[in-house]
Amino acid sequence: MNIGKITLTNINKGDAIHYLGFGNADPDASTLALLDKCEKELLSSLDCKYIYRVFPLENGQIPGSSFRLRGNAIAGHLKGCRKIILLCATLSEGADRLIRKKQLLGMAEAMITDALASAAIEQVCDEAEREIMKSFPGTGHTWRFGLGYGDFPLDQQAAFLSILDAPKRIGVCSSSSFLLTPLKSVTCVIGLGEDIPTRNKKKCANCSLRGTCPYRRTDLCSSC
Amino acid sequence: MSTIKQLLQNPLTLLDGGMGTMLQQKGMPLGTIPETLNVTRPDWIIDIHRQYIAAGSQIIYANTFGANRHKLADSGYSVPELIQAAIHNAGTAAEGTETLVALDIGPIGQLLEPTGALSFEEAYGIFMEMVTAGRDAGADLVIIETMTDLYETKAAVLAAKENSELPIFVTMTFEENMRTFTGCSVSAMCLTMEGLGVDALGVNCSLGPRDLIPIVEEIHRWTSLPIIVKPNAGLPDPVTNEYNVLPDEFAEVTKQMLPFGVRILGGCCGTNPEFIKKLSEMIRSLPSAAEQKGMNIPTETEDGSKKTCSSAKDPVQHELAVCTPLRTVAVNEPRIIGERINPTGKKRFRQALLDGDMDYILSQAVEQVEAGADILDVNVGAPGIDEKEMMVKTIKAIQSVIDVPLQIDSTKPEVIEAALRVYNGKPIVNSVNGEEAVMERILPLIAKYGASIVCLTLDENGIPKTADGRFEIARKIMERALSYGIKKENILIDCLVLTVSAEQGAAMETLKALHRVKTELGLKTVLGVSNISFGLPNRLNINTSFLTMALYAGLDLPIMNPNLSAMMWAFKSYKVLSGDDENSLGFISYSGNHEPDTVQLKKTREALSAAEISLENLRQGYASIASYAGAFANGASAPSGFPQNENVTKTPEAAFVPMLSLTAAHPADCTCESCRAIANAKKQYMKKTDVSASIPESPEGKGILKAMETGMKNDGRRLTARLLNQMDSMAIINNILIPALDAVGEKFEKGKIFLPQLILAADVAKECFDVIKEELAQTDSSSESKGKIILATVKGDIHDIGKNIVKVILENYGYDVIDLGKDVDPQLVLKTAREQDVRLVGLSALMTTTLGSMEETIKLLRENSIDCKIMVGGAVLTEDYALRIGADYYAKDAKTGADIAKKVLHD
Repeated sequence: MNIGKITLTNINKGDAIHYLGFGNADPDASTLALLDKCEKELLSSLDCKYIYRVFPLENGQIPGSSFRLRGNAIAGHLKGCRKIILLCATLSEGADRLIRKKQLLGMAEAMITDALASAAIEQVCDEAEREIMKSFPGTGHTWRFGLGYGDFPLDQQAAFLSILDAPKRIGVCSSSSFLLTPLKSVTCVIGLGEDIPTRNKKKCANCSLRGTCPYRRTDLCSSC
Repeated sequence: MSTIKQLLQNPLTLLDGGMGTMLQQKGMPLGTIPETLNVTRPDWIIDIHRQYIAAGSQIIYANTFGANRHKLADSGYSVPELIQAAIHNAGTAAEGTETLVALDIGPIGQLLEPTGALSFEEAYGIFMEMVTAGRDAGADLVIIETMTDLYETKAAVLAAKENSELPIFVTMTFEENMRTFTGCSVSAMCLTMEGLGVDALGVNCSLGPRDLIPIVEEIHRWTSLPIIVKPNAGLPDPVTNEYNVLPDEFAEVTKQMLPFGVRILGGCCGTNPEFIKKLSEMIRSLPSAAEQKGMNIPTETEDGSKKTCSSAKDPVQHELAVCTPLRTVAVNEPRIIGERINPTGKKRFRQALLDGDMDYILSQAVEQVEAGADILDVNVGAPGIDEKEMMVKTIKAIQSVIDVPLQIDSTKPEVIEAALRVYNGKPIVNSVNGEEAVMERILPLIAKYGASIVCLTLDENGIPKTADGRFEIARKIMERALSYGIKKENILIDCLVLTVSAEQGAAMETLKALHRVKTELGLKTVLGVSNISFGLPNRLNINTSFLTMALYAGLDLPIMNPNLSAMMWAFKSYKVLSGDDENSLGFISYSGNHEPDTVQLKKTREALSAAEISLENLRQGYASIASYAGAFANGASAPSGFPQNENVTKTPEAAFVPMLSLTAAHPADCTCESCRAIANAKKQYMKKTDVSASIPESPEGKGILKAMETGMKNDGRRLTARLLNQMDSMAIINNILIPALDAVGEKFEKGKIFLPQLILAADVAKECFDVIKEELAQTDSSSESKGKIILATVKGDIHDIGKNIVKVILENYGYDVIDLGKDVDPQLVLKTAREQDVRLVGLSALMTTTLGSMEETIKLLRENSIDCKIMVGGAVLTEDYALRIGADYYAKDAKTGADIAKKVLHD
């Protein structure tokens, strides 16, 4: 079990602008000004943490564990993998608190801060993944597959967190409908294997949301 | 068997070590709920307990840490079943020894409101079930541990206190930054838990013993209770998962904490019986009782030199401090209590209470904190309001966005108790007085919940005229409060301010009494400062002078309006002169961020002289208006030739100023002839003023559109205020605001602007509406509603920002939005829709897992034949899916939501 902290010095505003629905258009001056203002405030309220554990993978499952990797999507994703990393990351409660307060002062700032926070948690995951992979030189890995993505069910959220001892170690809990708190938190798995090619990013072509995603066209999707 | 009381007579008491570590060694499979082993492997559990007892543990933790309803949901066992088995196992192990058995209570595993979905009341119920089971099974004490959320800890302590007679220990888990994950500070834990009457408190888990030293030191500063420490065996190795501190070192470092009041010791994650044995040996090796109590034990410093370690920082016990989890306010120098959350004399505020308009109340809170309030008074009592319900709602709402401590302001014991229960931290209560019956009802509540209490120096005979009379009442209340076990530092005296215009000697009597209370009784003092000038002109001048005098006489907590810059400057200046503001740093930094008062005064003077000129202009038209008003009062039509003065026609509002000034001293709801006449005249005049469709072309109309497009809130406010002089409020809404919103919305739909800009425009429109609402409240009128809409984020879902965005837009279009919040029970939607006869319901859900709740809610509304349309929205929804689950409309964004509302409620 390993815990890490990450300090962000900036937030990927391109992603935030994308989440705000600008597509290819350039944001206007007032939105840009608000993005700068909200980025500063958000950065000072972050306390980014992650926790992970590495397990062997046998027949697509973690041996001796009550946590099951269910669904076709995850089975395909982990094909050829020998090990699996269970990862949980969070911006901590400060971000939620800031977004709540912002809603009182103006919904535009709240929405922009929310988009920035969504971008920030992705950055934290990227950074965590980079850190973790240092321990596995020469090993290929899959992209991060989130709980609840595709047919990988969310209902094992609590079991997943409990294996990582995440409530106690980094303060991430799940609600009875399997939602994570603090809100800007992520649970995901990464497959590891000597023989698999490293896949860092998911693409629209292999994304299970390609049928409905409003950003699915290449020119709108920041992942492609 | 001994009791906790007997045990704590010893200078040091030994707890046990880790349970999870030991279970893993015994081969517990990954993902097992450890509490189920109480039934499936009692032999393991009993063996582990026995090992700890053999190592010297005097208190063992039964294996009940996670035995709560939430965590056991899918275990196949009930809470009482596992707790009973656990206590039985521990009792079996302890048989024939003096060892005590603790019911161990850990976090529920779900986050409480406001971030999570679990309410305080639900958390209390979950803990109550555990406490009841533990009590019935024969536990000797309750230990609440590894807590990170102060609110959850409070729920657990209350559950333990109210459902058992057992002693209570509390330990929370702090990180290196001296805060828990949820941001709770050490001081907040100490103030709140000691207030609630726990028997010992401290820290467990998260760090090794060395890293806990500063935290223990800080705990020592804030409490006089025995301190518990249960460190981890250092940090786990990333590869082997083994902890890096060995038993000998563990005991040695723990010894260094004894000088800071540590009386109860043990180990947490990674520790085993060997650690406890070493602790036990360390305790036995301490040469004398005096050293065991932590007096002057020499400790090694980093450079190896020895020093006598008495607490480096002075303990701050016995000084008044109040807190929220995030912020502690020590009253070691004057602090400001903001007075604005109070409906008395404020129609707009009263209207907000009646409408349940929490955003308005919260904006008052934010404004005061930004102006410099250290504490906020909260008073929500008004006719037609369920004060208890509103108080609970308001406190929860304020605490979800603001971190300053609150002062609960009510005279009703049931309101005070409800507020004390749900308050997160340690508050002040305002107030009790010297009446026997009042003291009897209020003081026990203060003692139970550990708050501070404002005591008014009045009793059955009213307010004594003399300082001596008030001093005597202060003394009487103090003695009574002490007899209830309320600590002296928590007793605050309000010597009561009377209006100086009514009785000139009264001001000095108040200050004399205050000074005596401060110096002779040694109590902190409170005063509502602004009452002093009632009935006089230039009240602010009197108030600032009185504030300075009162501070000099020993006032600790002025209750005042921090939004008035003159008051803030007087306060800041006093602190420089009194020496509280060291090196004037506070004053200098305040000066950097605020306009000097002289500039403010100049502006005010300019505004005043401008007003005087226009008053002079108006004076000519005054007689005719007066006769007009008089005629209306008598039911006649307007006198011919009215209005005669140019200025009057342009600014009818201003024309009433001279008349209003005649009746300025009348109460807001006065029904005397003059007031009625004025009100009537205003109404009639407004109706007669023809508002033509050309208004949107007016400079103000264009200005408002521009303000919306550029996000200039102040411009929006200013222009709306100006428009209110020209036309009535409904005309502004229908002919200006809505067309402007439509124009912005159209640009959004055409892709010319994007969502943030649309929402920014909505924010500006909201400010415009605020100005209109203010006006409506002043004139006791209300705007005509365009219809009611329920908005709710469905059961199980806690992502509600999208719903809140839709709310702002719909409100801008003049709809009455009934916002049921997040995680909303389908039954509540049904009940509200039925009772309020709502024709449009909007539901939001973010996650695929909560779409089921959405479907269920729709089904419930349909089954009960509620005659309403349903629109749904949320990130994972599609139009197709929306219609499939029975919704009438799919709102892909906020603008569509407004279009749907228009269609449903106007057709």
